Amino acid sequence: MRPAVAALGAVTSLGKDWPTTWQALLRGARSSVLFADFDTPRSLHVPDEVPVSAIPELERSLTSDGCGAAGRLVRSVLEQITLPGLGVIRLYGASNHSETDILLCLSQNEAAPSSLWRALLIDAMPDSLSWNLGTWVYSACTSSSHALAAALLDFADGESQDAIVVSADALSSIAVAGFWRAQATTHKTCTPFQEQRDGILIGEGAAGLRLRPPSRTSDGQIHLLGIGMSCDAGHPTDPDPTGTWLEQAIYDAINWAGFSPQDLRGIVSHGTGTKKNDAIEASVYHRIWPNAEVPITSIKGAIGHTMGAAGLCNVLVAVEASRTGLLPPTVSNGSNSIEGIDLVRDSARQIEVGAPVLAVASGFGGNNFACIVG
Amino acid sequence: MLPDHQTNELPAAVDDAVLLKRICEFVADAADCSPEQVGADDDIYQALHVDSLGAMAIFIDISYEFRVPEPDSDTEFAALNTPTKLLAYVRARSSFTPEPTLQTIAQRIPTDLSALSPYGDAFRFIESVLLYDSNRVVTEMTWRLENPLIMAHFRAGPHVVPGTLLSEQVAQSALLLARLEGILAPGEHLMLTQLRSEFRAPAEAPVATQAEVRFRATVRGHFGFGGFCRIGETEVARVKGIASRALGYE
Amino acid sequence: MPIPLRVSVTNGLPRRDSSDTFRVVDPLDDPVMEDNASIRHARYYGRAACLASSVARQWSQRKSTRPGRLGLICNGGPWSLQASWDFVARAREVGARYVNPLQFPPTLISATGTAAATAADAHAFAYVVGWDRFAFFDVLHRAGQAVRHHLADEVLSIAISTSNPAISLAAKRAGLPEPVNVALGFALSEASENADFWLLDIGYDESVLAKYPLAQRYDAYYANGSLSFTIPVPLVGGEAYGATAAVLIMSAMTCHKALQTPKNRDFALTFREEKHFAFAVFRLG
Repeated sequence: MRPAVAALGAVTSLGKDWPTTWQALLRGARSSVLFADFDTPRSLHVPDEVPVSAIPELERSLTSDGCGAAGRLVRSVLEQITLPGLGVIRLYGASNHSETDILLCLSQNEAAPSSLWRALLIDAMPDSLSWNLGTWVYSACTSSSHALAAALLDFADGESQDAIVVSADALSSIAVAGFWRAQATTHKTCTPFQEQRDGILIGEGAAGLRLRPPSRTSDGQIHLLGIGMSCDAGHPTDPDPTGTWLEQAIYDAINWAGFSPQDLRGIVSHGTGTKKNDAIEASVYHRIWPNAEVPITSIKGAIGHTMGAAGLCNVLVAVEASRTGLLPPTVSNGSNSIEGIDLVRDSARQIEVGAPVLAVASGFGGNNFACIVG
Repeated sequence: MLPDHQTNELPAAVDDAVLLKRICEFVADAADCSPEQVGADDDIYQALHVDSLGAMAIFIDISYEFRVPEPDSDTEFAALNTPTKLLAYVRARSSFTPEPTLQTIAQRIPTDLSALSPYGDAFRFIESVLLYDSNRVVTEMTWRLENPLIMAHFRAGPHVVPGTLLSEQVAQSALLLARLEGILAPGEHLMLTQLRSEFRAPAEAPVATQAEVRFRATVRGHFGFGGFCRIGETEVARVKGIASRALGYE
Repeated sequence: MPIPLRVSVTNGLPRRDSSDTFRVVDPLDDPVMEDNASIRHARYYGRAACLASSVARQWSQRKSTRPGRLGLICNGGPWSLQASWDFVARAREVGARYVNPLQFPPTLISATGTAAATAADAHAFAYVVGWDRFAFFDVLHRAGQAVRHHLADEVLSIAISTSNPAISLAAKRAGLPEPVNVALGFALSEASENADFWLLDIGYDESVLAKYPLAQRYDAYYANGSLSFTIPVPLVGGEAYGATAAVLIMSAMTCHKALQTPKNRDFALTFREEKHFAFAVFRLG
């Protein structure tokens, strides 16, 4: 079973829906503000030298049951992609730091309502959604990727005929402070896979994708063709320096889809903009494609690293790239790209319409995920 | 490692052996071993296998405990690879210039704050300057019950400081910052052209509020600024605005 | 048609009390657990990650699965709460500039799973599923699915429920019971004749359940906010939240042994609440 992608939805710093976001990505737009300018009522006062990619006018207050910005983002995406359809829709969700707003609020307010404490204990994100959830997955920045895997396997088992995978993370002071003090945040512009890169642009956003059985006529539908996953199982934050397990995940996805590496026409990389990740990821691509025959892009300089939603955001870009035949450019600062890869920059790159495109994600704890669409 | 409390003694007044012992404790925490296992000349990366997170933790601990700055570059980080070298670093950098305090700034702020606002003292909402460094100023205002503006607001109580006054404190702090930064010519003033305020919690008089302000962007005579008002650790207002150059207040 | 999976169980807690299966951990045990966890900076990770890693480590000492073919899944819950709370407290006390970066990774809910994967040398995947009382049923479902689809030869599914000061405080303020300490590992692989137990995941299909008469079923259900069950063995004496399913299955297995259930006799375990239900079937091999 290769389920078809029936609808895409997103809220990012570049757009309140997926079409707007996609057009902005194609134009090479990017969104970045200083953390101090980002309106958070529960800030830990992270110095404002930290740029972040924030969604304009996002309501960030907490309801008494703990629903905050992340919950609102999920709802917004669900509204975009919940089209009329037959049967029961199963929901696969993912988040990362969704509860931290509550934590900060509680740490400052002894007299908080008991519902807020309850939300903290049982996780506000899923509890605040009145959906019949299929599965809620946590695996740091590959959370949404593993949720997608769960949906795909349920399709393969015939357990589901209509599924929505949705993921959201909102900016949290804990995440910004943590990444900043781990020396992982960019100081200026996040420029993945370029020599002068200096770190992550921490972002926020939500992505959603609806899966349906493939139609009999192949009328431009994009399908989920294969997945692969692995875990470095080594360091809590750093990727395995050899990239062995990331490479394994990519090969597993290629094998699942029944392709050879040469069949792929584009890669939407994890590409965080940190020295370590991009060097290791590029070396893996170079090993698989020694002649840099597949163009690579990263969207994290444009919309930032959307944490738990990042993997699904990459899948959305891969789906749209295959459907339209355009790979959006990577944000650039004019410095050279890492040698051995073909980095798409400055303008969108044309690829074959309907061609298989690979989306990659990695996360804290060493999880790797690869997904092929086409 | 989380130091139980910050060392009040300056490094210069502390014996090297004491300093080294404390540094070894930080290294041991980052290396996940006991302090006894850390030798003064052990390579913290090669011998003790401290990773990038651990290295950062060591320098943060040292920075907090001894009030020395963190190294400026990756090269400097990597070169400070033994407890002995870290001790030398603490010694060398303990004479760094500390953040300006109220005392150090006293000579740099305008001696006559009343000249700050053209409306005179009755409409000046900065009583003292707590801190000024590059593109940042922190001011304080004490809102007393006898202040007529407070008395007139909710006369029967509670005497909540009007949000517009908190916003004005931030805006006046931005004006002060512009003067301290020297970006206004003599006779030049700033006029507030846009303001957006969000209020997080009530400030009930009598209370002292601290306003912290920075400039965010400068475009042809227009200055975007952002700041907030706090009561201690509690944020009560967040303010953004644009001020534009003006000659006089006619 | 559901395919039976071999299940082996590892108890992550050292047995010191009279119970054959469970024991309550007191805070004095934390340093011992941290030592046993074999994860770096265990004291920042908290009890859940230490216990999960302890289970994983015990399992890894007897497993034969290749690292690349071993996956790991844990149930979710508020287990990272203490680490997050400590991180926030530090930031608020001394400022964000002086937070400890070593304390950051444990603030993630997924840290329990990835720390355990490191201890087990599990390289196929490592993630955390669910947050409610059904979470571990979902974990077992995903684990079985991964085996059937050849994403792994074996999946170590770890059920975790722990308490600590932050969780206790949250539970008290919310009027919810404090979680008990439970750490159980269920290793799922393809069925084989020499297994002690097989686990049959029959998902959400009630028609499969119909073949089991009530006498062959262990029923557990929530009514008016409290757990009721027909398993004639004591549970852990408290709320296990996301690990509840593991406690029920483990109790039923214990019951099998206690009753000397005839060999190859199937039993069904059901677990239901208002909106959801999930169940599993196992038998003595």
